[in-house]
Amino acid sequence: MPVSDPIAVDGQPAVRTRSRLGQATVEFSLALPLVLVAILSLLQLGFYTIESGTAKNAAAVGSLVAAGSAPNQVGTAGIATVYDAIRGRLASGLFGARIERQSPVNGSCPRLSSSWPIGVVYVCSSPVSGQPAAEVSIRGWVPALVPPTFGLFATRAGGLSIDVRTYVRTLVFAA
Amino acid sequence: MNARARSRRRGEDAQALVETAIVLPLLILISLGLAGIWVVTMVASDVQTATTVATASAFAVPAGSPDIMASVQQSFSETLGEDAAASAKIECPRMANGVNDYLYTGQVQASGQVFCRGSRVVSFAHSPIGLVWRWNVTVSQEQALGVPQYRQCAPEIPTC
Repeated sequence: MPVSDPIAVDGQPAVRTRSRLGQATVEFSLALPLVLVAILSLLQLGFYTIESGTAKNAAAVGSLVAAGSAPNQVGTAGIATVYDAIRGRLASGLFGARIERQSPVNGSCPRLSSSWPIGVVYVCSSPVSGQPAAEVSIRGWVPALVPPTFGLFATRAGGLSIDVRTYVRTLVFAA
Repeated sequence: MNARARSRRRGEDAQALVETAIVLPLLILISLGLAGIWVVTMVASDVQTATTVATASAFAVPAGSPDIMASVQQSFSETLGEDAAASAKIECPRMANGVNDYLYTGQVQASGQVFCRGSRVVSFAHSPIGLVWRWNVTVSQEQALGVPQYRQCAPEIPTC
């Protein structure tokens, strides 16, 4: 028995026992952040899957509405109808995001931009110029509920992109 | 630390190294497999949306018009996006029970339906997921919509 191990605990020298406890603590403190990141990432994945599915589903429903109500030769304005039809559906599935109406720019729905605020998802409906068709877009940034995102699915810190666009033929009535 | 203790410590380190070498590749393979499942699920969702929208597009064209499938195809491709559309297709086959008569004859019975099937081939050849998913996956989704009560008919279909 070395001089430095004067007291035995459970048959092990006290210094060695303390050393093993210290080692376990260090290993635990190294592993804990990794395990937490893994768990939080899985949670985030689940939330994002729901949010993405909600947006796609709502865009499909919006298209069905737009197909009969988008602007055409008799001049029916469809954008308000699409927004009203899918707003509730989006609100229930986009966690922590505000749903807002967006107007077309130069005859088409704006593309997703990193300058848009996080936590706002825009609904846009527009006739496609030169074609008897309409596009419905649901675009924006939903907040990452599990911080930090570590860049998972995000091109922007703190935000996950929602970018859905549909294209549907619309009814055209004779003038 | 005496020689015996040092030897025991080296043995434990080596054991841990061997265990890690066995478990780590398995964990990576499992993670890539799960990532592949997730990607396929997301693609299935995309294809379902595009198929629904494309099927609805059929009703904007007069019943029986020769342009009707072009409208369905265009809507499907535009909704999926240019890149995805290259590996995707939609078909609305003529069926014996009167389904899709709207597309091909313009004759529509009460409660008639238009049925389309969209599909897309997913390949992981150029991604790390391809280490596990070494084969192409064909995602197929179907959509049936009732023909609207009010519709237009192509001029060549007088009895529509």
